[in-house]
Amino acid sequence: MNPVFLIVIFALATGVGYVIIKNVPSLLHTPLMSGMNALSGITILGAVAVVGLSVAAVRQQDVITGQILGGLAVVAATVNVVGGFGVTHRMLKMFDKKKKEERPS
Amino acid sequence: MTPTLYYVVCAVLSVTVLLGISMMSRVKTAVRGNIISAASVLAGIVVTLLYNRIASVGSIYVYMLVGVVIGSAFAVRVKMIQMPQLVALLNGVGGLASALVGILTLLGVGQWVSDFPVFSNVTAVLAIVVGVITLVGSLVAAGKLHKLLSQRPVIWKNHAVVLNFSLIVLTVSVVYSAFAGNMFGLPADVALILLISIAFSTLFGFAFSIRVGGADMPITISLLNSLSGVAGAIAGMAISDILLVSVGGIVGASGLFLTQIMCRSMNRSLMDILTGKTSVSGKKVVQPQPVM
Repeated sequence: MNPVFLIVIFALATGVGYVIIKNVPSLLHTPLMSGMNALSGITILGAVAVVGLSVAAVRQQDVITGQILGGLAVVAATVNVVGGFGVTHRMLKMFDKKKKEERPS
Repeated sequence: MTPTLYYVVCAVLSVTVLLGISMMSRVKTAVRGNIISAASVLAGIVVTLLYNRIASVGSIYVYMLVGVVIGSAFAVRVKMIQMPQLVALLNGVGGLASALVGILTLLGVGQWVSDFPVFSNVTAVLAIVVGVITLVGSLVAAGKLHKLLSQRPVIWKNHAVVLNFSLIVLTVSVVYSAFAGNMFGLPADVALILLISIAFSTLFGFAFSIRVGGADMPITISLLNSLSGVAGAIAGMAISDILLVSVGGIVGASGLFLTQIMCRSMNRSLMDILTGKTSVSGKKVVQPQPVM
């Protein structure tokens, strides 16, 4: 794909990403940061593609390198995504509980 | 899957990610926003598998399963009070993944042959640099929060010199990667570029985050978080993955904006934290207290 096209996409995404968050209540800073952290594990797409495509490599050596380093990348990115969303969910659930407990009292 | 359909799906998924983030910035919709973001990532994985026609490669699922087990163990087991360091740790792991994708791209393993090798090489090295800085910086941040390292800002004698020097070396190695493997002989050797960029980004990440005090850590983590989004986007450029580029860009930018919001609410200036000014003035505030 043409580099110019990729850079334009990056610039667009950056612009939109910058505008999307407006006034975040400070209560949500940590969960939002955590959720964003989980989203940054999106690099799993790259890792998956690399591992998958390396299988078809011509040299045996490349297949092994791709499987070891790429595999490590997939594991790392999956930990990031799953752990990140899991933790964020737990944090947000905690807010829910607090509210429900506070209301009756 | 045809390219046109792929582009449309990528655009849709980018929008759902945006929706997820914007929903997460309001208390009422935060839980749903989180689930939407998670679903978008999952859909992105499926799309990548289909588009590259690699859904039949068994090892991918094994690796992902390992990751799911480790990740969910972290998410379920960890105590609420340990959350900040866990987020830092997870963030670092994400940076590691981007760096690894960059390394493999530079080695020419596992991707379609690029029509633009120079662009792909330069972005690969850039992904390694940003990814490793994220990894090391996050690990130091996690270590500080977990009290494995001293919470107080550590300032070396030549701190600024070390930072500037490694930044210059990194810039040179990124520029050099444009000539990787075909000109200048030894200086443009792929292995050498790899070694130098990994070594100096480790040094930079360490020097950068060791200087930040414990109280400023959340802001540093938020900044590193934004950086790991950028690392992902750059890795996406290296392998021409548009979904990775767009979501990485979104996370990078909104992460940076969140960092600024956090700075404002904590009454700190981002530049001061970056240049280590806050930690220095923080030290001065601490000094008058006799107990310390």
